[in-house]
Amino acid sequence: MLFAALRERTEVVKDRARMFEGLIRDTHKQAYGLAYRLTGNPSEAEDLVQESFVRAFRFFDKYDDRLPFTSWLYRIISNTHIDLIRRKGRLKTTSLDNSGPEGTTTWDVADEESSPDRELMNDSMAEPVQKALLSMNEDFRTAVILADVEGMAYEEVAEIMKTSVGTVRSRIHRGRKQLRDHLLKNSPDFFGRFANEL
Amino acid sequence: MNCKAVQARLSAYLDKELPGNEHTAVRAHVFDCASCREEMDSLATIKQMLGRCAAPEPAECFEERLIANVMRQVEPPRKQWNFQFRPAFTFAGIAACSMVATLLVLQFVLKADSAPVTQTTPDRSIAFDIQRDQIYSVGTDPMGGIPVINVQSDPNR
Repeated sequence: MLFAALRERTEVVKDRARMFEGLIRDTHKQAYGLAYRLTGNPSEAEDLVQESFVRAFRFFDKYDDRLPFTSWLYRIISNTHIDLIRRKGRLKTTSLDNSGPEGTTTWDVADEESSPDRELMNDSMAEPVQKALLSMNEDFRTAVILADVEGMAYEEVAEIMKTSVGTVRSRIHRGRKQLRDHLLKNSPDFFGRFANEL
Repeated sequence: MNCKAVQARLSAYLDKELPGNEHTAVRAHVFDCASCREEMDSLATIKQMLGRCAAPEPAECFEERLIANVMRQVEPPRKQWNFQFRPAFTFAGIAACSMVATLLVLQFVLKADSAPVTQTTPDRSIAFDIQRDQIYSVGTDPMGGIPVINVQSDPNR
């Protein structure tokens, strides 16, 4: 009887693992996209995705399956990102006022030579935007990425960031202004070209 | 609504996240105000730019590597089994340690009780020599550390 119970439990665990593996296959690209935008390089993005899926599995009992799995996963990725940064003692944001075009600030961007996403990062659009994103305060960046890159509504962003809709509204607005000012200062041609295309 | 109030709401206006009356007020203001319209256009450019950024693709081998790494961390079968029985093992461990500790203590106590008896009367012939009217004490020879019996006659008898 004990063995039967044990076998049954093992089967449940295996089923859960199989189901979770399916979720990883379905959502890992979206997770990587967000992680890359948040971290700015492929290696850290991979670590972040892995750590986030591990946490998601451990807290899977808390997942409310009436909501999309990706929303829940995005929340975990955002929180894990903050945790990993704090663990590394790198919660250091760069003020736009202190950053100069002559490289007075070291941007934490991917090594273009070694990156598997070299072609994408060499894209004339992606690189200045990614640099501008990485120059921002973590909270502003996360809010802007979730809203503008992932296309989420404010309420969803607020839910993920565990804050109010009013705070999200303010973060997105200030974040966009920071991005615009950074691009106008450091890549005015790029910004002008893009604005004219619209 | 003045320019300051409008400019603070421009992002939410672009995202259609303003209440109906505010949305209408901002739209009316921007229609007439060139500087607010310019501000709105620049924010709209940023929004469009971010929306058009292609999602970075992970390396081809990432999917399999990720699944292998995640599953190794979360689902080692033995770990699951151990986790279920860990309280029992912990209890057994504590019980075993307590028993060993009790045995050691008991052994020490028994040894301490029996030691003076065996050590102070190594030679029974000495005991025979002690008379009833003699006082004796048990001690240790300060020079050699050997247990000795000091015998002294009672001067009152």
